[in-house]
Amino acid sequence: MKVNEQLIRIRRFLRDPNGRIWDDDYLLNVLNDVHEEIMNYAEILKEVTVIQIPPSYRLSYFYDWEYAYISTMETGFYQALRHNHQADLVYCHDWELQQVWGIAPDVSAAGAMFTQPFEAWYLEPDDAIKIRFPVDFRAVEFIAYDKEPIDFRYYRTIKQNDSQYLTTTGTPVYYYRPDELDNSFVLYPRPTTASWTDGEGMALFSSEDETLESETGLSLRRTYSTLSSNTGLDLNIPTANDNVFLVYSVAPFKLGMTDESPLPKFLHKYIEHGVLAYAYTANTDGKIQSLADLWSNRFEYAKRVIKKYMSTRMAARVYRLGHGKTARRNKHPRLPSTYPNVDNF
Amino acid sequence: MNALEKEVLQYIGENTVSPDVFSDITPIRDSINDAIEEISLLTGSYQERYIIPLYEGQGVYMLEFSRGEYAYPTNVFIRGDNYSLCQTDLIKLNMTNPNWMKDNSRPTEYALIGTKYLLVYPAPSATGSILEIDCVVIPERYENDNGRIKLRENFKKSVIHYAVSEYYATRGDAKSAANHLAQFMKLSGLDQMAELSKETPYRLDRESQRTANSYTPISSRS
Repeated sequence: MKVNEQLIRIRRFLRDPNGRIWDDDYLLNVLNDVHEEIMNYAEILKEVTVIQIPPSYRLSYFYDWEYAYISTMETGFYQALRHNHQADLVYCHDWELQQVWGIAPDVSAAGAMFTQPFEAWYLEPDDAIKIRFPVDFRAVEFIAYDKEPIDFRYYRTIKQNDSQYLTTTGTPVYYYRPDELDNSFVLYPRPTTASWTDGEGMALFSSEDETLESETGLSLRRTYSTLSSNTGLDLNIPTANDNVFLVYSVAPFKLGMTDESPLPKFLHKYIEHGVLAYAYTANTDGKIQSLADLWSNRFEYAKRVIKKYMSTRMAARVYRLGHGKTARRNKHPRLPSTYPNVDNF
Repeated sequence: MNALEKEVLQYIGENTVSPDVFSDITPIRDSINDAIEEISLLTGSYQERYIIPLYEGQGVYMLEFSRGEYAYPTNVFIRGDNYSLCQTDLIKLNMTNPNWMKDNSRPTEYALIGTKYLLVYPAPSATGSILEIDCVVIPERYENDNGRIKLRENFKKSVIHYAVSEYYATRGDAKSAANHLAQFMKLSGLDQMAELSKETPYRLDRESQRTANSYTPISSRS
């Protein structure tokens, strides 16, 4: 159900069909708050995806001011090269800074810089290859490279344990996040295996069973395919070989009037209950305490329904995570039964 | 207008032949559909069977229902070989075998990922098996007078009270709304089911027996 349809239902319960007390902006804000509250509370939305290595980006940029011109739904952008604060310029190697400051450049570069990450597999890179999480990413549930799970390590730990971490190659066993705001991660060690079709200076990616021609000039990313319109079956075909397989929980995003919550449809009415609870509690002309209490109780009940739903989904498990039986603590020392009673002494 | 909607109008004192307030029955219909969804979700009263052909090497499948909405599975069965899969999760798979993604064999377990993905472990080693999933489904909302209402008879009375409760809420009568909502929960049995479940697992077990070497406290010796 779209947000504008939900607001019609909400207004019926608010008895304010024309928005004289609670306008659409206010209700939309409250709806987003409640939506976020439910999604954070339930954490039931999870997605499965394969992130191709090397990661494909649609555009690169250098300066922060360019970020404002990128669409908020765009995930395929990459901030390339390095930024120097004093001079407010973008540079590739440290010897350039020496030259800017009038020092004879004598620092040798450890490797080459790149503007598109796939170039890093053509040369010895001098920068970490950042791989972007999906735009709706919130937290990692499970992550694997080439079907082998990898663990999280702090950036600081990686740097302390390996001074050559930027150039260390091998099979990735860890991932770190150099900047959480950037919504990206880096595999450590850097994987050496990456495959794509060389489109004469353009990287063309394909998944299994697909054939790409270098002349098409297209960069493809297949996410899912329908086998046949008659099967009614939707398949997501993640190809996890030499790629990152990721299961993640979905972050709530701001809903607009024509958007629909990604929560299951049968949970949408509980968002409305929360909105009604907050709306009637707000200090407006429409504040009615009895109705505020009614909808607050219904919203609390809604959370319990959601919790019940979450636990029922896992009810078929034949095991439960928990500690085993605790060892029985004897209050008195154990002696063999052949010992005479203490009382007889 | 179907029988349920008519009974709701009777409860609120509306003319069922030519209603003057509820000439558009949509609000009542919405409330009834909401109640059906809630009862189906908490009681699991409506189930359907979902069939997936398994593919070699593919472990993750998306469940996309064309009618109703998938809630959770109650049984996952491999047709042909005729055995059920056990439910597991990613944590247990990682703990018992970190290389679980590389295993290809006959599936023995399944895990739920989010609200629409199902993972079978190990991934099938050959194409051809059929996965049969019995799942609780939230029925689709009925939209016209002759729409099918997928609800057991013994829940229909409670649904009426849910709709009446929402009517009183729209009229600002919180007390009547709360009373009818309580009736809805009582008649459907949800007042007990919606309690927060305790973390303690329940199991059938016999009383533990003292062993021959167990120590008897001094005070109880004769």
